[in-house]
Amino acid sequence: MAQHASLLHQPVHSAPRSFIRRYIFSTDHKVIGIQYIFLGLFSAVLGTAMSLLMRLHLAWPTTQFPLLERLFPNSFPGSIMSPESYLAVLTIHGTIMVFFLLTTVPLSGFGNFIMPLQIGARDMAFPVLNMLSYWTTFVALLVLIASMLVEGGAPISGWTAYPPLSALGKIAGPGLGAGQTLWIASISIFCLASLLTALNFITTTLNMRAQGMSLMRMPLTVWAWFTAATVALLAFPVLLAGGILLMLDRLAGTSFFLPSGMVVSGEVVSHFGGSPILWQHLFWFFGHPEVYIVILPGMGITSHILSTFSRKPIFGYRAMVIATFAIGLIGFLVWGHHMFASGMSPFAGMVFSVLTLTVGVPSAIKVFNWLATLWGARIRFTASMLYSLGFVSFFVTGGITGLLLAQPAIDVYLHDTYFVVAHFHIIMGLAAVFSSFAALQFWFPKMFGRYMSEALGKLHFWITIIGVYAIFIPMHFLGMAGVPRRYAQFTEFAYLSRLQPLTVYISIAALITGAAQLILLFNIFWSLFRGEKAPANPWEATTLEWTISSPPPHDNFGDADPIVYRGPYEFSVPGAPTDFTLQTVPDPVAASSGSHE
Amino acid sequence: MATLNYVPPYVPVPPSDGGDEGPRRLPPGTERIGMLLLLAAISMMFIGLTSAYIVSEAFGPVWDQLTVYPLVWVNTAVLLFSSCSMELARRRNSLPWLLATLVSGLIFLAGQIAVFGLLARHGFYLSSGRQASFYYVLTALHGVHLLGGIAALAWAVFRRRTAKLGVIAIYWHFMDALWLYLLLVIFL
Repeated sequence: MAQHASLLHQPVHSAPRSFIRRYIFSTDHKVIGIQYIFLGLFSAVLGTAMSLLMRLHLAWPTTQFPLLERLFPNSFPGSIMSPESYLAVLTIHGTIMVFFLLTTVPLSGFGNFIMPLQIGARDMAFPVLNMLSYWTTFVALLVLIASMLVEGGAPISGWTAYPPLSALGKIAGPGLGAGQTLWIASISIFCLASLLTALNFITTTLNMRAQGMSLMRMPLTVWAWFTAATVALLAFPVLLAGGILLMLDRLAGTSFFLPSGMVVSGEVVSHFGGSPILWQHLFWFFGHPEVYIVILPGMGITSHILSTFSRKPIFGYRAMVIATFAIGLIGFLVWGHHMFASGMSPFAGMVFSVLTLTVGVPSAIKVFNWLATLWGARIRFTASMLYSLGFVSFFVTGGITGLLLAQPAIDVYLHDTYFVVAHFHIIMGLAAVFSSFAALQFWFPKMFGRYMSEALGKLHFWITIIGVYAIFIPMHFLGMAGVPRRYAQFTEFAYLSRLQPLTVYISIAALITGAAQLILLFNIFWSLFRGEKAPANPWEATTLEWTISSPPPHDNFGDADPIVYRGPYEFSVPGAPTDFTLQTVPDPVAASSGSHE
Repeated sequence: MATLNYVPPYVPVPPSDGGDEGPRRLPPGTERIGMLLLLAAISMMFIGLTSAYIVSEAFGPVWDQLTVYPLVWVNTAVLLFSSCSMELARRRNSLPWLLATLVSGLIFLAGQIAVFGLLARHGFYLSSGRQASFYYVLTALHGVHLLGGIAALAWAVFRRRTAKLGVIAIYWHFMDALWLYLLLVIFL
């Protein structure tokens, strides 16, 4: 317990004095984590605003919005969103959400802040690299925003940027000139930043753990970040390779992705001999693992929070670790299921289909273990617990539709319909976002020394979970009825026009749910300054970040490195004085005589 | 300590020299792990590109245009020599061998650019067909990565430091092996 007392000492080394070195170009993993989270928050606001613009147009395609014309005169000629602008908004919504929110916040944001604390490290292995990764990501976001502001506006090729559309340049459509070039540049820069972050995460986890922090004593969050980082390290370089080839097709006249004999806008294209399918392979070889980069941290966060508020050890820790790894590994073998409709030999289709269904096994293990953790527990229904339960709900709902889409015979019918939109928004978007809500509510006291409001958190949770199900469950029906993705307007098609009331319903639900996000924003900024002060271990949790003050000092653990004696989820240990036993407690029974806050 | 059943073997972490001020000492092997991970990422990039190259062969007739110029073999020999001199520099902590590595790296790059010139003289440009395109892209990206290695070597020579040569040497040998792999894929 000697090391315990010393943990509360003053930090030996003070933080850098200048404001710029301390808060802007900081090498402190905690500051960088918060920077990532705020970058993600900005992206979320932008991306949500775009989705609401799309929903407005889909529900009321002929209604004029003079205010929007005044704000965006090029995109709203005659006060109605033009179809090209719809596609441009769709592209940027997808890109900004997938890359700058879902990839950034759960992994780079919370991972940066929490992971070194949870393994007992004083910083990441390469702090300067960490800082450069953040600022590279920042530049990537600026370049993406710039793509909206150049002549022709943002690209209209979607977040997947399929060639030939994305490779031909200006003649293929608005936004496919400078806008598409900047888009590819932005994503390539983002790839570089992400793989360097991943490298840092893996090295830190492997080599910077505190004494006694064996691999099987690491919190499941650390396992999840570690696995997600490994996936990111191996997936992003492939997208970077694809991005370089696509850029050369656009700028240097090569024909990697462009076939012979194309006629576009009345002009014969001089490119010859390439294949647009090649891009799809390169993109989805990255794109499917990307889904797991997004969702794995959410799984770790959920395991962690469910165990903490169930006051029980996580059920099947070892199975959870193996399932995490299995999901990461199988994730590299299933990219073909995005391409069933692109033309694929039935044999390859079957292999991809079976491998995809295999992902269901470790996923089901995880869900089973989460439910078993909750079974018979005296659950503390805090806001972060509710968000985590929401994650489990989305994981099941979105996972089941994944099993349907994994089968080529069904997928060929549902491909590029709203069924797919609903599926990936639930499993990738909402699940990851809810795990981020949970993580924010849970670690906010550690980050800023103040609680977020529980009441506002619960209000936000209930409105949001009902709202998003009201949005996305009807979308499945739209998809099954054959409503295609990416169309700016459905009213022109006789077979779709009778579904318009459902579209209007979805849009109203989306507007209400979007407005409810203001509660979260208010909660964050109000709590930053006015929230109730939090102690070092407000949730009575067990892992290392709760052994130090909130917020932690600059060098995390003061003058003594923590020593770990036990696993991460020792709740309700028989004979222990409290229902939680910190990882740094050598003997909980003996500890009952002393104090260990 | 009665309930303590297992504490894994532990390499002590030297105390931090403080967040931003002064150099921080890392646990042994950290830089090596970082380098190996970087090489894993670079491998994935080239695996992606070379798989694209291999499947592109099946797309159509524009293939088998390139001939192997003797200069390619000269370049390969220079790069192989640079790996040997790198190893000597690392084992003997020798600055002259380090300089020899640096110079042969530069000669290799100059040779690669000369091959580009030869190709262009025979009418093979970046956009002359998939095989030529891939040749330029693969060799240019390899060159860019080698340039990173040269920058690291130049830093080591400039600072007269042969201490951190371990990780630079891993990188350099990897670039050598990568070139041999690319040669196999392109010309086989």
